[in-house]
Amino acid sequence: MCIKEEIFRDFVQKLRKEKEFSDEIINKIKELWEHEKITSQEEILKLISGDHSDDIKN
Amino acid sequence: MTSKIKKVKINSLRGIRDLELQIDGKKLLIYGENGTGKSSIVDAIEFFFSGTISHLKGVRGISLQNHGPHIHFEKDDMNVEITFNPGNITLTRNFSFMSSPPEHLKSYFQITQKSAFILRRSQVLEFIISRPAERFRAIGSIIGIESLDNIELEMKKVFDKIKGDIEFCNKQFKKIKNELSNIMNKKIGGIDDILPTINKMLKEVNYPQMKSLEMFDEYSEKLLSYTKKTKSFDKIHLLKMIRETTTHKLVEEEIEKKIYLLNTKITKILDEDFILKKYIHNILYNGLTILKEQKSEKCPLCEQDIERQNLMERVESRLNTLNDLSNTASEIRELSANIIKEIEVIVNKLNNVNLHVKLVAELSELSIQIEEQVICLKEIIKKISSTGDFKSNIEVKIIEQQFNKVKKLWKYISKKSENLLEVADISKEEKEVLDKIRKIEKVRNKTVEILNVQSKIKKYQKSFILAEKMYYTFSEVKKAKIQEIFRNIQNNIQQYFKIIHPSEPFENIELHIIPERRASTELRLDIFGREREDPRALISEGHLDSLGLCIFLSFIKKFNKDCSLIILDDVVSTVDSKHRENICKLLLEEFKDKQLIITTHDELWYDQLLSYQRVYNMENDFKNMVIVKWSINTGPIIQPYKTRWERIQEKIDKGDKNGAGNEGRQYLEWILTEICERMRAQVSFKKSGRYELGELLDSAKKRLDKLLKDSEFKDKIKEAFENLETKVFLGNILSHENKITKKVSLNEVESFCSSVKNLHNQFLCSTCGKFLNYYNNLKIIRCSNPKCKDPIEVKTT
Repeated sequence: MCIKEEIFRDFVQKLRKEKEFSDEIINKIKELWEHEKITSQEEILKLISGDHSDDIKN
Repeated sequence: MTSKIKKVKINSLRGIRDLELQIDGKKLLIYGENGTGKSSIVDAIEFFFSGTISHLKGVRGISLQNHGPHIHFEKDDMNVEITFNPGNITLTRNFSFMSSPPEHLKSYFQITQKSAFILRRSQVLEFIISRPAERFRAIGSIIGIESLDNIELEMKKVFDKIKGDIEFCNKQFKKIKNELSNIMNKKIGGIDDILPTINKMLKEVNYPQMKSLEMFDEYSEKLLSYTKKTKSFDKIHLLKMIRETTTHKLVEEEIEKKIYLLNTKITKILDEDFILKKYIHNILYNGLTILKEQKSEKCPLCEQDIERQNLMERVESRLNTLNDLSNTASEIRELSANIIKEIEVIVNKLNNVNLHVKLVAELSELSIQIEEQVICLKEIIKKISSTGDFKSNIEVKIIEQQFNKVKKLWKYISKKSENLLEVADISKEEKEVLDKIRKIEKVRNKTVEILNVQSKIKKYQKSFILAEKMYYTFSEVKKAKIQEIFRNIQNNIQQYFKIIHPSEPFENIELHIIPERRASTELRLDIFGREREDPRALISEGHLDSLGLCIFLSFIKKFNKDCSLIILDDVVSTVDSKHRENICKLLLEEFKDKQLIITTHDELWYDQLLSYQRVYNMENDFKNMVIVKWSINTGPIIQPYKTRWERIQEKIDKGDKNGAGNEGRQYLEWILTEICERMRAQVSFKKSGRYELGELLDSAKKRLDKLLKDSEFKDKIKEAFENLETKVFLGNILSHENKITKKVSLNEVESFCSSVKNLHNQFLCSTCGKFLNYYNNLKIIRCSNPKCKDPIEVKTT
């Protein structure tokens, strides 16, 4: 596994321990990473606010 | 089996017209004087793998397209073809095409595409002298984490943006709260204070109480039902609402100031030539270090008198300005988010007023104008959103003009509604109800606003927590991982540096991530009993260069496992001869499996590498080449390396007496210099460093006569010197054009050259062929190759 992947794996593992990050948002982060879209500010904003809108609905 | 380069074919690139290098998967050593096209070969290999030539990037006025191709050719003529073994696979790159590597070469290409296998002279110090952020970038490109920096930066941008949104909403919240307090004549602390206060107002005029804030609309209707409306009542109600709204400022002065401030910051960024600033920063940083250490009142560059303290303060102030650049970028992002929010408020106000304007016949024609202004403001929002790209200034004047138009329209609506109200007919009772309704309406509107803002703050705060945790978690994980890599690599750096500088007091070489910065790396080592010193503070330029080389090689060792190629382009010019020998050892011991391509303009380093090939029995692993000539029309003329003796033989075979004699004389000069140095002969010091043959010969002879006990070895040496002395005058004659030259026969020249070679042979180890050295502490002359299996050893006096 290359360093980039190792860093991402550890990052996701740490996020899982944070109560604010649901499985859904972590899966979305993984999806962005796989599609190399995590470098887009827009996508990150969407990810964060999207997770929040779900909270509001609930 | 590791893939290696078999052949490189270069067309029309930099100083090369057409060149074919047959490497056969071996290591390649190229000697050539300055400006003979060595670096063009390196450039071509870099272009082939990465599509770029890194030293042509980022320099104003220089580009790959214009300066990559040979000066006599077009860019379409530029082409590089490399053949790999195993598989005899030939791939091509030019400006319009790149062959796709086959599966088994993919991991090799993943590494080479980043140019992380080349170390040029100019890059050695990137690991040492540069600022921590640049050092981090240099290392990052080798370990392949550049894209992680982009991810981290984008996360930081999101974090900054949400922070800006929250700040804006908090200001809005405060502002609306103050407005509510003014309308209700009572200080409002929060939402909970609104209902009791409004009910108190209603009680004063004997109207029924409101049960909740959600009842606002229903309640206004109820109030209207208390009175008998005239025909003009609804219109007056609308006009009063329009009038009430438009008496308040639409565009706050603060927003215009903020746009000016934003533009100033963007202009600053745009005006900054980042590359240039980087260089200036390095000069200033190094200059400041020198000023601090030198403690002299003279300029270290021009030696003119200076006020040191004053100059240091000015340099420090300039350095602080340069450090501000990245902070400014962050501020721009926050500020633009804030301005956008404020313009959105203006747009909302215009849209709300328009809803009422449309319903009043006398004002309805203004509706289109309002809509046009809304479109223009949305355009401004778009422009401000794009400021984060730092590509262009904001057209402040145009925005100012737009704001003036909007303000004028707002004022006009206000004035016109006021005029219409003056001529309207309304009873006293109606007026009273309208006033009450208007007040309730105002409270209602403000309450809706404050609830919206409160909900936004809540939403942003949640997003902020996510953005903050995401950014800091990513940053921490990245730093921790890189620090772990640094820890793993430090042993290699230390080990390699020890090979080059054995028994020198450098310990604990440490690469260290700076925790409080986003992407920065510090370099420290222990030296002369002082711990964690910046190497620049206490070690020589040659040591810094070799440290840079060790850092590069350590990362290559760890991360370029799937790529055998390492290119070192003229990297040891500041390192002295003794330490270069150790670099030879390092390369041939630790990187023996790699396909090294080493270029140099330094004959001594070239000879040392040749000599170490023999020591390590690696002559067959190398292709040794020499660039004998270069011109713009021919490009480099490159030939396989020939020993001095091979060159002499070639000239004798051609009947070139002068050429052979000249080579023979140079050969003799070199041998005598080596003997004097290795046997520690005393030679009178000459500032010019140029010694006559006779001077060197005498010194060498005397030294050996004194050093050697009577032995077979001594006899042979004596005989070789005597043989040479009878012919040495030929060397002098043949190296100059004169009449006597013609009288010298080819046989005599050959005999002179053979006597030189004979002398040389006496000083070579018969087992491994390495030069003999005198070891004073052991009082012996011995083969200088520590790996020699059966070294010659002669006891001395």
